[in-house]
Amino acid sequence: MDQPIISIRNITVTYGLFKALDEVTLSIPRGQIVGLVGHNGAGKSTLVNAVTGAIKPLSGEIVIDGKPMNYSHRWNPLHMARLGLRVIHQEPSLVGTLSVADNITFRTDSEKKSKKEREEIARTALAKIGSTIDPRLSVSSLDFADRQIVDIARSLYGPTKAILLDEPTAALGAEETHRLHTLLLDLAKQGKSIVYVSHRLRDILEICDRIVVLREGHIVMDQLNREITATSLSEAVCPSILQNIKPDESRKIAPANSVIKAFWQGHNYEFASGEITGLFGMAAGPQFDFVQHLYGLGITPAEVFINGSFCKITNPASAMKHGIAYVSSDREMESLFPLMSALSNVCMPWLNNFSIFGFLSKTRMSDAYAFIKNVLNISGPTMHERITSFSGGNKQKHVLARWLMNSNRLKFLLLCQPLQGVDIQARKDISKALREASDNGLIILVASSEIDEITSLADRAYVCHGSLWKEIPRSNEWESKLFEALLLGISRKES
Amino acid sequence: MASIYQSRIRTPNIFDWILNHIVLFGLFLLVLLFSIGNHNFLSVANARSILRQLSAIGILSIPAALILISNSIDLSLGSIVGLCSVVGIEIMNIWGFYPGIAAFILVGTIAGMFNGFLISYAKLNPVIITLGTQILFRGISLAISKGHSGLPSVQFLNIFRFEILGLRPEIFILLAALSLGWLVLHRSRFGRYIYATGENERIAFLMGVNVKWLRFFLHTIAGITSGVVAIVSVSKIGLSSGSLGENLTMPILIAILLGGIDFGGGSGNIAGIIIGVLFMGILQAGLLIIGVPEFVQRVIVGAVMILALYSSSLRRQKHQPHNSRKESSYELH
Repeated sequence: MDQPIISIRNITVTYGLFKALDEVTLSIPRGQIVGLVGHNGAGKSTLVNAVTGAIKPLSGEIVIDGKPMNYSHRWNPLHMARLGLRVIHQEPSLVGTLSVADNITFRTDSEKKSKKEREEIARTALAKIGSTIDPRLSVSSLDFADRQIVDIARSLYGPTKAILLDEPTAALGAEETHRLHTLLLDLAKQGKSIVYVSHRLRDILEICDRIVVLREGHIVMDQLNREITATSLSEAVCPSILQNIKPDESRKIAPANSVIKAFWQGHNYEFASGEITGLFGMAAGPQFDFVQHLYGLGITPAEVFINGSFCKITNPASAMKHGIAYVSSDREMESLFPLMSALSNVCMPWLNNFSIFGFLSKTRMSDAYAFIKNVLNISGPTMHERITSFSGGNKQKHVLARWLMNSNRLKFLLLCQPLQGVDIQARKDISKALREASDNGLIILVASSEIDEITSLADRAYVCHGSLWKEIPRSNEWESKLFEALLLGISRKES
Repeated sequence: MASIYQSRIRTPNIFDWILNHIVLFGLFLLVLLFSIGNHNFLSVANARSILRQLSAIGILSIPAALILISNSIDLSLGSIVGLCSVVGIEIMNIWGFYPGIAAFILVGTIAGMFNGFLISYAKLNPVIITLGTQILFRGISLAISKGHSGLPSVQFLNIFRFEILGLRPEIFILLAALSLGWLVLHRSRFGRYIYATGENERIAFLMGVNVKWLRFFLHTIAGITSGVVAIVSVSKIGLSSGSLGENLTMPILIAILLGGIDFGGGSGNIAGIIIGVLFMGILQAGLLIIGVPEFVQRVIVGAVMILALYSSSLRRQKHQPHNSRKESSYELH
């Protein structure tokens, strides 16, 4: 019993030059629930993927119940599953067109058995976790929580010794979360080891025996739950040393000469120029839905009042026409064109202003680029090089340069995670440029799940959970107040 | 960060340069081989005749390339040429010259709009749908012509029988198409939108580009150009036929793939297209001149097609930016 179920030894994973995990060592004994927390990009998902065999680490080994896996072995998910390690993703990985029974026995030894037998196997597997879902149903007819239960039943079928859950509650309601937690505690009692990865610190604090905090590919905290408080946990996830860029506290807020009113889920919100408003919430939280809605990406058109006049925004083109700009949190997939030059990338939304009778004026474009390059302090190769040859911080500067180069034509700038993956110096440059634009009459909204982005950029902030948003003005110990409001806001709502 | 940036980018050497211009080298090799095989190959007369023969491929390769850059494809252009020629000549013989010319262009426009509508607005897969319309348009033109060839009026043939500096009108149309293509792709706002749409439709949409209309427009332009090519072809051959343009679609595709335009969109330039078209034209003409049997020609053209696709995929891999999220989102189970 003393031997750990999963023993991770000196795992290093690199993406190009970036070390996602650096010599991580962690062992998980039988029957323990281990919470794994950390920022976006701290290495949580990478660790889960390495342990389950989806990605092959550069070095290190994993021992599962005495059977070692190292670099020379077949490092793939099927092999890991045979050793008794299963993973459950945020999205249940089931085949929608097949039945529940087919899914549970998928890629197992029972696959060849008759339909009746497989249904019986599925029924017992589901009964083991206290579920009475009919195994004959097709998975696509189940709701989300039931699918998750089928996924768990599936992962428990066979010689499963440990389960990894990657953000399992992100799409679940309070009741379903509670059901899942009871199930997990029960499984732990049966001697299964559980790794629970989540952004929701409250969930982690609620059910985990032990909490491991990852930051920049290292384990920075590994303690038993009873020794940990919510404050020490949030400090470990996001230390205040990283929050050393603050707006000038004494700065006078410029008088608002431009106001936007928006309606969202039964509440009115008002944003004025001269101040930067932060929207703080969970990863993939409602704050992002809100800004996407304002950019016309929602299901229904956004209805906003810009300086008193009513505007209906149906798609990005109409949003841009009304002077609304949007920066996605997904820099690689939703912001930059990798095959294009830095200049083309930046000028993309403004080609109307840079062309004469439809033909581009190179001088106008490069003049504008030179101007914004100075403002944002962009460094790296020339503007004619591909955007991919710039560093991460400079790429992000280009994303913002795209809108800030013509900020006088904009009224409203929506930013999602504008400081993600950006070093301290670039953070300073970006906040300075945003501050300047804001002082010049641009209304700026920063939606983020990273508290330091809010505290280093915003003048005031909303804590967003569900449709219940709470405004918290800047004050002393702002970040802990924001964090507490987020944690408490959820617990009040759910319990 | 500067040191990291430099260590990542290798300075290109001579081999990279050769690899990047492999089609250009292939072109020289081709000319060399054919001129050894036939001593008359390197002559002004032959060059003129090759240019004439590749004009149809060359003109159509421009809109086809724009479509491929925008990450769509049109495999029905050859069939549209056939349809235009049949309907155009039919109407010309009934109502006269000008209505006939208008019919050529109008039929092309409608066919192009039909493709564009199905791809952009009905959101159907462009490869499958233009394979379908390829058969549809060909069927219609064969049904109208009932398998017979149509004879254009003498007036029509005379109009396109002039020569300037010893060059036929189709050469000038080809040059015009190339210059227009260059202007659009490399100097215009619209060209930037084409590249942006092809490279990442989502970002282009977020930047306010009307992606649907853009593809619809490009397919319509391709239809119009097919009408023009139909006029040129009929005047060259002297008759219209339901099977006109049957051997156009694949050579066009091979030419633009060789020219550096990749499946998946977002890359390519006019210089590449010119080289690709020259390669294809010289290959086809050369094989005929040195007397390679027809079935062997097919083998060679097929092999070139595979090579073109392979080179396109190699380029694509090379250009793919390092993207850690793609690796980490590798699906489990």
